[in-house]
Amino acid sequence: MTHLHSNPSLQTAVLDIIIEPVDDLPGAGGLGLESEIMRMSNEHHKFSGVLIQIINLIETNITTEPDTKDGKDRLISSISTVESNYPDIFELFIELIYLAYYSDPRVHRRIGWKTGPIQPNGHLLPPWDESILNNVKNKEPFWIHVE
Amino acid sequence: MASITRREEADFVVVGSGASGAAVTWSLAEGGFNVVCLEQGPWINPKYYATNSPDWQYLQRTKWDYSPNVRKLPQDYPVNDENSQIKVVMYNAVGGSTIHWTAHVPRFHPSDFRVKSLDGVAEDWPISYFELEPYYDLNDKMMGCSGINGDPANPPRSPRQMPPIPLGHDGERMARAFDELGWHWWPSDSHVNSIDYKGRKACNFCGPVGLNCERGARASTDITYIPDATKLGAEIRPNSTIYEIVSDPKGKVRGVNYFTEQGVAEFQPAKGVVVAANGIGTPRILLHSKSESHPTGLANSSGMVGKNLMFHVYAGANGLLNDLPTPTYQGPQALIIMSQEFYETDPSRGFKRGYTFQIGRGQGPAATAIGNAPWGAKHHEEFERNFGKNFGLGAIGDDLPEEINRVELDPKLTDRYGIPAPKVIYRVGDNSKKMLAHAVKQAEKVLNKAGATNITRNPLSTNTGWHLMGTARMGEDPSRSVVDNYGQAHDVDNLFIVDGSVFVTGGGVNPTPTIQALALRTADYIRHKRTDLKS
Ligand SMILES: Cc1cc2nc3c(=O)[nH]c(=O)nc-3n(C[C@H](O)[C@H](O)[C@H](O)COP(=O)(O)OP(=O)(O)OC[C@H]3O[C@@H](n4cnc5c(N)ncnc54)[C@H](O)[C@@H]3O)c2cc1C
Repeated sequence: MTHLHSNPSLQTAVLDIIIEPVDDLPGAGGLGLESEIMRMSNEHHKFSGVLIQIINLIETNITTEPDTKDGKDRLISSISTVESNYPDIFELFIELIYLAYYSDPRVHRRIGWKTGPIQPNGHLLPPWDESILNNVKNKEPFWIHVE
Repeated sequence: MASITRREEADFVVVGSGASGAAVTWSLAEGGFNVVCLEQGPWINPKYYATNSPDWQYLQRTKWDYSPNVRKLPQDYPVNDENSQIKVVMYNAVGGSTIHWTAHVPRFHPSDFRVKSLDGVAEDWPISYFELEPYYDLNDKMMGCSGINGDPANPPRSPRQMPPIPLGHDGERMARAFDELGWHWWPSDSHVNSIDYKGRKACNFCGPVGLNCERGARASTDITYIPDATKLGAEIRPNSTIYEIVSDPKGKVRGVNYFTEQGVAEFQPAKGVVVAANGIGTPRILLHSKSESHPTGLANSSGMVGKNLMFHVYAGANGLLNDLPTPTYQGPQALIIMSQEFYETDPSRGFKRGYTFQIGRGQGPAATAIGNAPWGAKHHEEFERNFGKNFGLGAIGDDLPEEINRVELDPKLTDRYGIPAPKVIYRVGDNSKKMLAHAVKQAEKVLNKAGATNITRNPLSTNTGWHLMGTARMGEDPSRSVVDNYGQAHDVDNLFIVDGSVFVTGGGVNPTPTIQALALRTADYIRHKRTDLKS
């Protein structure tokens, strides 16, 4: 498996906290989204280096968290600290993880979303029914007449 | 100049091929003028629209983002909007920002043209609604309008080309809520096909209208005006970035200097120039076209070029509709109904002019999560609560012009050719703040009536600078305006401006039908009164 960060277990643990496992689906860490995240980071400058930067910050910060907490709590509190200290890049990090997670067909199956391009199929809407206008079309015109 | 390749002279060169540039190009070509339309962006093959890709959610936030500062495509110039409360969005390609637009097309009200006389604010326009009406109609025919007559908030008008887009269960629920409050609402007018029109297919309600579709259901000028214009002999020259409009010692314009895709400078001479580069791009070019005869920038003896920038101000409320038979992401995102209950001035509200309510649907999974679900233990719960149920009611408010809101040339930031980038300075005015506070309260009332839960307020949207207006405004007084009522520059009689820059005020509705109607009216004027500019 490709890992973006030099500390793969930390990366997986962080992603599993960002989006936790649910039902029979692993969290964002266990789902194996690394190659997708890597592609997304490489294909557009917006996300370039974002994941590594954030995991580095979390890794550095975690050493300052009190060791009275258990491992997961320390990690959560380290992520929160990074979020408040670096809000802009953290927001991009969350956007990137969410994009990768919610583009995954396994997630789509779970939430009832049809995978693939949104064209050419689209959706069906009930046809236009003019009777909905019955009330409003009885309103007196109220636009202001000025030349 | 000496080393620049000189092209053959055209009657007119049009700068930009978006909503207004395409309309004027078509009309001038139809009038027998020899027209070259120069566009900095490329042709976009509809095959490559994001809606055709499984990766569309990612593309929507990167290469297809609304902001040029995020996309950073080769044809995008950077916009310094650090000092603007509202961030600028636009698209640069053949078709301009209509490649990205949502195609919601309400018209201005007659009162919008008379705000000084009626309300004592800003300035009256030098034209009236009724002078513009035939051009609105012509534009609807060219773009294709879905909608229905009988709206009590607007003057009667000729029939739309197509019936309204169906409202969907969510739209119907909101319509009933407005009915129960006794408030106005009406199906949106849209330049999206509800049935097949002029070889373009009907909408199949996939959702993100702003990403465009290969069906051509949503009108954009690359598939409406432009093909018709080229059939009439107009030339569209893509990947051509104008850096200067050239004027002679007498002050007349003689053509434009531009860079080809390869970075080669060329000169396109013309008898007349029409600028249609939008409310940010147009002042940028004019300010950059200084010369001995126009030392403060082209057509800028009034000092008004770049001033009076208006966006529309947006605010509203969001909520969840939990008991609908279909998810709220099904159906075109923003083309459902509108309400103009609060459009005209009512002194008891404490602000002048007013706003239109528009409805926004839910979005796909990633956008829903990004907007609503926090990371961590609550993520799945919040996602599930919102997905397919969230819904918004937004107000688009009339943003009155103020000279301090403006576009300048950035002293440092440039595009890839070294042309100065625009610097945007803008803050929301007091009248707008009061208007938005009012709108948020009324939006909550409607959502409550509709049975929405988890209602949250949105006091101001900031990534919504898609209506770019006022920066080369029209008027009768050359010391207070840039162009006359036909879009002809006061200072230069063979220079015309046709985009949203010429707006005197913004109205409380989306501007593009008004932009296009004004462009068609300018073209009509040239066709009939400026035959001196025809070979
Ligand atoms: C996401 C989004 C949604 C929108 N939704 C709606 C809506 O629902 N209803 C509505 O009424 N409006 C909407 N709009 C706004 C609408 O798109 C604009 O009002 C309209 O396109 C403006 O037309 P224009 O001709 O002034 O400029 P544009 O359409 O922006 O075209 C300007 C063109 O000029 C070109 N250009 C600029 N500078 C140069 C240069 N130096 N050299 C060569 N070419 C140049 C640009 O590349 C561009 O193609 C929306 C816009 C966006 C971005």
